[in-house]
Amino acid sequence: MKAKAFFKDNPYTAILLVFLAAVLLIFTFTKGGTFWQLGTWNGIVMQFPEFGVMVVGTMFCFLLGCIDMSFVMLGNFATIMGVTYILNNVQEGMSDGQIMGVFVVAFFIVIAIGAAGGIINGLLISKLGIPPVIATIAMQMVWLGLSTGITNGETLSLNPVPLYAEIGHSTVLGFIPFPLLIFIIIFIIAYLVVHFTTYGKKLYMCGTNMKAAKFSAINTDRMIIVTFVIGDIICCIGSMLMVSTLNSAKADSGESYVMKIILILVLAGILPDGGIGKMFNLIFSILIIQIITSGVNMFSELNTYHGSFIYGTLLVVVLILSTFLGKSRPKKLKKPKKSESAA
Amino acid sequence: MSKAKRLTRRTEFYIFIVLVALCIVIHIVSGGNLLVPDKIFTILRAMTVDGIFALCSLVVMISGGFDLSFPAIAAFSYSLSTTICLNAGLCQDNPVIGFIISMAIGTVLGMFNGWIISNFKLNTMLVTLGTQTMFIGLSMGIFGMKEITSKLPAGFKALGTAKITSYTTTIGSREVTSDLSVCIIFLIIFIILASFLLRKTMFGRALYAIGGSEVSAERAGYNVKRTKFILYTVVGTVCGFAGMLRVCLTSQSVPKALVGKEMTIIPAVILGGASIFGGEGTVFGTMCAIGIITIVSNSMIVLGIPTAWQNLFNGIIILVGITVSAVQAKRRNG
Repeated sequence: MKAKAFFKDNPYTAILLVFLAAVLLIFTFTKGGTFWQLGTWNGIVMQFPEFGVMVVGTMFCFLLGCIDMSFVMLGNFATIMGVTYILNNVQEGMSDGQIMGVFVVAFFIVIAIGAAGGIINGLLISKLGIPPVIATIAMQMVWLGLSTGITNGETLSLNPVPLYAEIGHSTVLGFIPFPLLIFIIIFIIAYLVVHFTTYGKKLYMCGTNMKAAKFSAINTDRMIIVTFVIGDIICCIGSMLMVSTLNSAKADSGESYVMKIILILVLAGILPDGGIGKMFNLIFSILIIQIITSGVNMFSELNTYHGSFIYGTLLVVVLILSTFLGKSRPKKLKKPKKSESAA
Repeated sequence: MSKAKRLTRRTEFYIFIVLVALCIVIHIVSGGNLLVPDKIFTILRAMTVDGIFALCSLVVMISGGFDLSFPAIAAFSYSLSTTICLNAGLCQDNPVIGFIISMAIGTVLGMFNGWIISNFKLNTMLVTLGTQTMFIGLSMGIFGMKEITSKLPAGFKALGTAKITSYTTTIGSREVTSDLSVCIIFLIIFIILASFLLRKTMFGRALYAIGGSEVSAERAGYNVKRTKFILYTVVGTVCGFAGMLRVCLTSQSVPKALVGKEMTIIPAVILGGASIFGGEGTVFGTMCAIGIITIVSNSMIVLGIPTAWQNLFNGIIILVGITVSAVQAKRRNG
């Protein structure tokens, strides 16, 4: 049977489909009609792209076997700089075309800062040999510190420039929301890069065993830097979408995203040990998490902390499940602890 | 190798020198305003809870684990415990019952952590990230914990303001009295306990062995599963205690207060010479690192750094610290 073989190869897809069905059933039974209204699904489609894009960015680091904890704060810093540029350069009476010109420059500022953040992360990890978790936690503190220092901890509102949020809420071809379009484009490009280029093959190789990859004539230092640059640039694009939803930039917006995004990746079977996981599973896991978020919001007696209880439980359950799934895959060779410092 | 030479190769030695140098520099820059009793009392008071957390984080890290959930455990334990005490009218003059309840809750949560980590051999960072989010959700979502400030049982406040000795200075015309809090004794007890545990007991040896290489430790006859379970349970208990101590010292119980605390404690522990891969780290180094962090964040205003830039300053210190120790480790391992 073809389907059986497919699920045997992709045990996570099967579990995700079960989870998805369960989540849909639970909300259908508890909320019935309101859950299946067009408005609910419109909200779901509008909301998931901003962290969906960040998930794709972080995925690159996970496939390499690194955890990136700094992306949210880096994104906030980059967008704060971008928003500052926009606020300083948009004058009254400018035509939409001129404002768009400012936006393009701001876009490149954000991308450049994202790339710089990626290079710093990559250099700390590859050249200095600092473990990725620690390096990125420290960088996260630095970016947060820079943003709070520059903004004095205040929110930078984009109210004077309504065009930015208008673009974020516009639809393309009349029915595709703009953020969704960005997400689809980035997802497809990332999918092609990960699964159909030599870079993607090297990514999986480095993630499986950094040392072996090094001895197979892969420039692992460059791989780490390039991967972090790609990942952090994509995360900064996600941050820009977040700015358009909130219509403001702040030093600590989206703090809970780190946890949420790691949960989504683990749920999709992309573990931070590196080198494993299929990208298409991400679509299901992003959907599951967004449906839970939107569903919890529909109950007036529940707050966001009920949501975080669900996420936490889900992460623990999925991790426990992953140990049982691991048995069907070829076992990774036990590495001595010290040699992992390269990974 | 001579003893002096061995000393200079250890991270703790450099951390200690940095601590001393920092004290002297800040003392001079601030115009003789650091190494005076009242300032030292403030810093020791600020160090108490962070120090106990750092010790918890240290023992976990020595065993090769990575615990993100300890602030969440502490926060849940103290908020539930203070709520119970408040509603039952306990702890009006003696805070012991509150501490016992908090420690019991901490133990249960720690056991949950330990059960998952020891039974399923999972990445400890991911597990504790999950349990951390769970515990936060549990305390503020399911249990609906609220801030308790003015109504806090009097027993807790009494412990927080109890003093060993006090010191009076005259600033201008008015007299300022600063107290050395009793709670510092708990930190000293925990430092002694942790040193004893790590140096003199089989359990401590087992932690270092597991951190060095889990497989080897298993072959050498250590019961890895049981050791890990006990470790996380004890850490939960101690976190429950430290959380309660924080309530006493700040005389308020804010369920949200400790969110994100792990992001400053863990880098500090690494700054103090602990290795994220396990098997390395000492109590002395950790306490020096916590001392550095506390002194710096308490002296920011004296040093002329505006409040908004303090995060950045902390981040840079951590970044420089871990870079130096990483470079050192790289050189040592060839």
